Amino acid sequence: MDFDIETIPAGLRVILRGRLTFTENEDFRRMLSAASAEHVAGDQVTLDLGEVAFIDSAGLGLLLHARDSLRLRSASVALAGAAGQVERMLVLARFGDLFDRAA
Amino acid sequence: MKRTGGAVQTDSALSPGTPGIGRLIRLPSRTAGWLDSPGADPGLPSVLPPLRPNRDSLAVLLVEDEPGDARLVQIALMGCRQPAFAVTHVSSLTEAIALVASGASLDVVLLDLSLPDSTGLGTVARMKDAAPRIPIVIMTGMDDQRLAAAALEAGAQDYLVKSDDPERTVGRAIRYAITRMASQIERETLLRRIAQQQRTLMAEIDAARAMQFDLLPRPERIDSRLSALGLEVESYFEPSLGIGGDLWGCLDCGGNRMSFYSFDFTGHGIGAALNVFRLHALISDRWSPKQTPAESLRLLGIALRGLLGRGHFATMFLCTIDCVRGEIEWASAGAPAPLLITDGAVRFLDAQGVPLGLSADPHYRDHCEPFPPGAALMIYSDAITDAPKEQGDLFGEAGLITLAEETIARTGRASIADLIDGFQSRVRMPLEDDMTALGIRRLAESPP
Repeated sequence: MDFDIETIPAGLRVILRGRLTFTENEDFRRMLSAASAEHVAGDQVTLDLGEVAFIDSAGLGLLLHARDSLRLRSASVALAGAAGQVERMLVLARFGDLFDRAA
Repeated sequence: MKRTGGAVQTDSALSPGTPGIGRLIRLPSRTAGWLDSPGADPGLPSVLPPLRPNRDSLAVLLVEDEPGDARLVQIALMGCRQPAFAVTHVSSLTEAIALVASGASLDVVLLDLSLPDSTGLGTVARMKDAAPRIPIVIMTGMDDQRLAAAALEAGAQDYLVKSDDPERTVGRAIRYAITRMASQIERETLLRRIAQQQRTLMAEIDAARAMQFDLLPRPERIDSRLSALGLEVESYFEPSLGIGGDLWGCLDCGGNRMSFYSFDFTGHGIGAALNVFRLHALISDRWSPKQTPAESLRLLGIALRGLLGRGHFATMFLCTIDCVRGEIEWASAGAPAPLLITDGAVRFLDAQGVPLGLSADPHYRDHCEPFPPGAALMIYSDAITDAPKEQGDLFGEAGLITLAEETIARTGRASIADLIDGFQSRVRMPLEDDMTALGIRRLAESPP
């Protein structure tokens, strides 16, 4: 997995690429500390999953970890762009109900 | 089901030619777990041997047939005080081996390589066989580095050249040889202890695996009910690391109804397996046949919420089959969508729902569909859909539905054994995730 962080009017957009499974644990944590470092309190963080090709249940767990960790910094956290297998997994687990809406 | 001329005929592609009786078929595990034969190492010392050179007096066996050489060494050793050396002198290998065999307590052997009854490196090997734990210092007449290296290879701890000044070298060589032997024994003991601990751990995991398999429904307990209801259940359960984060089970609602569930925790291995025992206990505690599947999932979700670590959750599917109404009612907490097979047509059930443990106030939806005689349901864990094919892409829901359709076309039914054979031939084995597959089929000859 790799990532880019962009500043957008609503806050930060984090673009994730590749696979999201337990193997990507370390990369994901790096992404999270980079996003936390750039984050301004109150801004939204949008995790853009458009270029994530595969996610499993451990990957869903990582997204929740990101949500909990960023919410401690009073960020709202939204998911965007999921397609294919990733979108099916998010819909199956009703992740839309667990994250904020993208601004 | 159609009745023509008194004979029973079924539309379902699932029903076998001959009507069966309701029962549970548990397919055997396809791996043996982690261990073939766990066991302790009886030869493992419980404490490490003491490091002997720290003692005040060391027992030396001098094996030397040249009286002059023997005398020189004895004189040299007599001069040493810290430690002092008590020397026993023999002039043949036979005498030396006999002395060792008699149980004499020795700290080191000084061994000449040209004895009347043995010469060369074979002397070291024979001494080593007789006393594997006593350090050996060989004595040679010439300064031959290659011979010395070969002797060390053969099991000696050090070597002395006789022409060297024995007063200066022999005491040091002995102490060095003893220290070297002690650390060699220590290292071997540690390695054996690690191996033993690993065997113990694996035996523990095998015991945990047996306990996990004990949680599964057993034919002798449920077959009478399955037979009365006309249900055939076929299950396959295979944890990837000996023990795993999956489980399935069935719950008797009484009357014409039976409930089935399958759940899967994030991760696998010991942590996930412990969560399996937790949720199994919670189901025993919180489930009631009076609750709908959605109500039961909600109660389980709330109960698990406070128990699980961050990022941990379980997906779960829970259904109740009513064999008189001919219906299946279900709710799902994000489980892989089960396959419903009716009249030979295969489709996925709606299995959307927040996984258990993620929401403090979870809500699930009850669904209901006809489940007539001949209908079948396949419940499975995501090990199947997430398995990579040989080409690298995922088996996926598309792979599963194609496999089910092909299996039905070929065999007239979708047996779990056939589906798993087909699945294993299409994906890269072994799987990295725990796998459960459960087939529930209403027999066409369903009792009233």
